[in-house]
Amino acid sequence: MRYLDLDIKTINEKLKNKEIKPIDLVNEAFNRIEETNLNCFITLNKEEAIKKALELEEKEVDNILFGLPIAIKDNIVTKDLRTTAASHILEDFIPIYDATVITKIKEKNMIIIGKTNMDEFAMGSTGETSYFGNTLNPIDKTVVPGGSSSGSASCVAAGITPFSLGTDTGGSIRQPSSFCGLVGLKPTYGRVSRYGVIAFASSLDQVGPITRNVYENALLLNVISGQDKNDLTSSNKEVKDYTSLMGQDINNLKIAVPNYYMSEVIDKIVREKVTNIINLLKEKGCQVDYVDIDYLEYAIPLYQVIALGEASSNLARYDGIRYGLKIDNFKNIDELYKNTRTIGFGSEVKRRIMIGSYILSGENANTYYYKALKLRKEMTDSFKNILSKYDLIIGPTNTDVAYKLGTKQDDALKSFYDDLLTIPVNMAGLPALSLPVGYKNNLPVGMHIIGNYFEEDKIYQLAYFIENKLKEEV
Amino acid sequence: MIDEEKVRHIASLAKLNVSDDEMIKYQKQLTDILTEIDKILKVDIKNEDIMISPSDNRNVYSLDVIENHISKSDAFKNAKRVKGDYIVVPKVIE
Repeated sequence: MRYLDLDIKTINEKLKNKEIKPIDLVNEAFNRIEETNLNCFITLNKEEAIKKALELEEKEVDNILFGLPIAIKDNIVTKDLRTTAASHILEDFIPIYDATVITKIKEKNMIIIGKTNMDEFAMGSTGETSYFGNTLNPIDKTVVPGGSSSGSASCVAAGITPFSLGTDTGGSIRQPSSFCGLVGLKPTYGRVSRYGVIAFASSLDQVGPITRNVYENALLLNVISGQDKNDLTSSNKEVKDYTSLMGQDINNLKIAVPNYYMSEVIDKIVREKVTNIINLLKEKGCQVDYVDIDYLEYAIPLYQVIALGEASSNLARYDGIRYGLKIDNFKNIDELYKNTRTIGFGSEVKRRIMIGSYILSGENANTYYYKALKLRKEMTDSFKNILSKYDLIIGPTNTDVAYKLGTKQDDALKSFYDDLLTIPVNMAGLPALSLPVGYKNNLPVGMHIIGNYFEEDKIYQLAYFIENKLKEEV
Repeated sequence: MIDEEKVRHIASLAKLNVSDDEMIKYQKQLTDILTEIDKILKVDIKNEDIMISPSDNRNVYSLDVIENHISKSDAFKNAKRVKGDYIVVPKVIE
């Protein structure tokens, strides 16, 4: 038996009564990495993790996450631990400070096992755009684990660590969580500090937890949330105990299902799984209504303008001078930039920053970007309108389950269409969770629960109810 | 499909080179995405309000005190060429 397969409460008890030590958990995690061979890490933190585990033997077990192993997506900076964003251009980058979320998990004495593989600069939905090779899905090694937080999902699904942190710009926590049968939450924009997160699209990016179950997800959100003076977009709203509504009756919840989320574009079996849950909730006494949310059909081109525009600006900092790759073959500064960036970035990233630069150049800024900002406002207002009448919005997380590695890799639009149902949530800045609700051909189906701003507790309330109901059925 | 000159122009805006081998691929892929993006131009929106960020924070000020120093050795740690107090760059003026 492995201790890491136990639930967190039980592990915490065993740590408290000294039946196990943090080093036992750390050893299990590293053994499991070797056994599973999923390429879900870019950099391991083995020496430091062992050192930390031994130090913790002298300390009192003072919180429920004490001594537990966690994996961190490699676009979150960690002091003195290589952070690459899965890019050649940052292959040798050693951060000089910790991201705020890292400081927070270190304060709780969690142990960082390593930095997880991902799509380069979080651009992709399969893990395949990583400079460091594919991540494998432990459920089926022939299908993609999803992305961009591919390694963060793969390592939790494989039982290497019970916790990981991912980031979500258009679905990058929820989609891999869905493909790997896990619980993944993108918090409300501003709930979690972005300080130390390598920027992709600053008005969409958010850090969030990926875990095996709903309760453990909320435990990690409790720790990473809060205002940060180093991120001026972080919110001063009170941090709740996100586990507090779990187990409370759900029959007074009003739930909306967008017609768009259950349309023909979505796989039939995926829709069936979600419909089963809808029926379950109706039986329980919830009001569930099908609704229209305006402008959802424009989410992808809208995302392409906003996300790629912001990305082109954020990625302008990789210039071969202050940090990162530098190519020695150049005659002038312009060649230094161009030669470094051409070799340093992979093709998905290059394509995206080209589009972003173009739509922000000259008159295009007015034509495309300004129009997108108006559309973003309208789409957000339609969400707000629905959420003024309903507590939660539900539907599928993705259009289908995980597909074969290598499919549609050359299709420039593919990685965007994977995020059809997740992107609108980032546009509005709302919180949303993916919860496993069944299987199609042995691959997990994820259900999407979208909440109102800063109401992650309500999302967890519903998710916890459904999770337990499904357990009873098995 | 967009022409080669336009692809080179777009690449140059992003400070990237495009080799002849990649030209056709980029012509196709950039055309696909730009065609997709054109869909938003057709949306009729009456309202002039815009949304730049979901954050509704206003006027967040920092205290006027010196803090959070980054040491020189830290700041230079990841630079490839450092000379004394400077990071070495190619000449930028003619």
